[in-house]
Amino acid sequence: MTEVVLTARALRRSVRLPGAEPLHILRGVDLEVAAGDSVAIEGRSGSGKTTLLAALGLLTTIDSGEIWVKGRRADHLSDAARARLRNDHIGFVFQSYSLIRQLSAQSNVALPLYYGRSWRRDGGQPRLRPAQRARELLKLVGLEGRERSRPRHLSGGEQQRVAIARALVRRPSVILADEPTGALDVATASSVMQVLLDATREEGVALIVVTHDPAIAKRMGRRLLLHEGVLHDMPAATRTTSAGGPSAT
Amino acid sequence: MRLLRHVGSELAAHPGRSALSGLSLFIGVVAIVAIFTIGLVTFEVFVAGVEQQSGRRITISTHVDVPSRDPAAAIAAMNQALTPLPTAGGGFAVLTDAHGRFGRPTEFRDGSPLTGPNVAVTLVSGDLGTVRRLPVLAGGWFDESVDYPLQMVVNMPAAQILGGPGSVWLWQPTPNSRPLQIIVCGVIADGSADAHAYVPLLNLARLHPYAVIDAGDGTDSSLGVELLLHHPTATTAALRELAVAAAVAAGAQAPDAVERIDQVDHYRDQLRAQQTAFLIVAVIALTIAALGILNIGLASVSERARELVIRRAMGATRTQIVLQLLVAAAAIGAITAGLAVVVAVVGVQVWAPTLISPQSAATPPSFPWAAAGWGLLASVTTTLLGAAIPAALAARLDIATALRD
Repeated sequence: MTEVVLTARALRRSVRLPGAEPLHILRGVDLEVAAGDSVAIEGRSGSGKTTLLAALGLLTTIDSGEIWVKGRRADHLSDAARARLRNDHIGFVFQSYSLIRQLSAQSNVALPLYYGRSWRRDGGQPRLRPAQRARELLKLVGLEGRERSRPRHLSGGEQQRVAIARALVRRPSVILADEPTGALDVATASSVMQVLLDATREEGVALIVVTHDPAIAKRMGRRLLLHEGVLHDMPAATRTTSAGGPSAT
Repeated sequence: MRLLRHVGSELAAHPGRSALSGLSLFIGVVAIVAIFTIGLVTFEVFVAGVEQQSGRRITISTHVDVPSRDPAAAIAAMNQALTPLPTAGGGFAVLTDAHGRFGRPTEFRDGSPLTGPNVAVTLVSGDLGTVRRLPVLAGGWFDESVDYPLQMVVNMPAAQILGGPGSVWLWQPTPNSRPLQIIVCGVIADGSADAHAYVPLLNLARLHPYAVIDAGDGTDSSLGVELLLHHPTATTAALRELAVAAAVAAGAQAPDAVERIDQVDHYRDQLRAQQTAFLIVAVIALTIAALGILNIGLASVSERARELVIRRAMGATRTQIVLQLLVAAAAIGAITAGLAVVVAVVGVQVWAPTLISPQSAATPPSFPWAAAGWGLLASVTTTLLGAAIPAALAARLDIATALRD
């Protein structure tokens, strides 16, 4: 039986705007993702996709509901404990890459290894030497030889590959990608997406991608639609272009 | 170890900011030390000059007419009466002026006066070097226990005329007296631009009492001498009592007028304003350095905040972020502060002495550790603040919102 790595139950999140009624962004989201799954979350602009991803990634708090990461309940943890859990089990790929411009590609990739409790030994896994592991992943995403390049010397596609390598460096259980190809042209987007899919498959990592782009979404194993704060399986009519895959939550 | 890696990564990621912060701190500390050192040197030069000319702090002077029938015995009795003073950490000197015609040993012809250089001479008994600040530049003071050959100490202008230690001259204590062989035994800085020699009064009195009586500022029946008494903590009244006791011991009348002649307190009062000005300049320098460091920190708050939020998204805790920045700032502070102190110490040891004339009685200042300490404290505190502000801001931000912005 495949291990469930991320579970969300009845997630609710609202924001209170000045002088206005509370805006309910998430109204009871349920989601279960197993190791190796690839999930696309689609939805209109402002539907709350990024908020959902931030909640699942423990980057923001929720009003109610439960989040479980690798069998551990995470929604009520302290900030430091959430940071450690994030570091241990969750990788992020952001639309704007979010690389530190003063650091080289290799240092950016190795960054998560410098935080967290067990970067020297990751459970029973082989010892993670930051530089060695970073070079390994840069090679995996096709950036061998660019280890010392700063982000400003890399193209958008290359920067996103560095971000993908960084997301994988801690051997996370799940990678959360927020519009990972949103800032790239079609050809580069396709290539970067392939790198992301190949790398997550290679490392056995679950992948959740928030996207507007059906072409990206159809390459995922499962497609979900965030509509009015609730996740739905993508309607069949919309999925005609999809590559298909398991649709059960 | 992990923290050190963070710090290394932090410093490597921001070499420009690190260098600028370090430079500001470096300049701040060195400027503080330099300003304080200049202040100390100025103060020391003024005080030293005053002590050189008129005596160290708390010095009294009085005129005593010593009976001239046995000047050596009278001077010895005065010295004996004043013995408690050097024992207690003070000093005294008995002075009288003399004729100063010198000549080369080869040029003296019996009966004819010397035609060599004319140098002002003061006959001295006691320890004038304790009463006035008179640094010895070469050789040393004469030894009053050795009567022959007669020795003398000269100041720098006199040394240019008579030569340094070991130079042998003939000297006529009075225009009509028989010349005496006299040897230069030391050169001192007395602050005078005129040539001046100091000859041991007691030895001359023992060897040629009439020469002393004729030379001294007195009459046939008495020898007029100036008595200088110094003690750093004694009261003027106590010194006056000693002066009276010394005069009586020498068989002289108790002196009428005893006055304090040192000017140290007077000049210290005047220099206090100057010291305050130096302090203000030091504080301004430190403030400018501090503002520079703070500015470097604040100028990059938004950029730093985004970077730190990314680090938090990657799993850094708030504590790790704050610690990382503070330790990095402290590392910059420690490295540059250490460097600044080394440069400042070398500067004070090498550069400060060059500010003082070789003929001045001033001594090179010691390193102003207190000023350097305050400078370091203020600079390191500011460096830490400059680092802590972005760290605190980043720690408060909601990661998701900050990354979206």
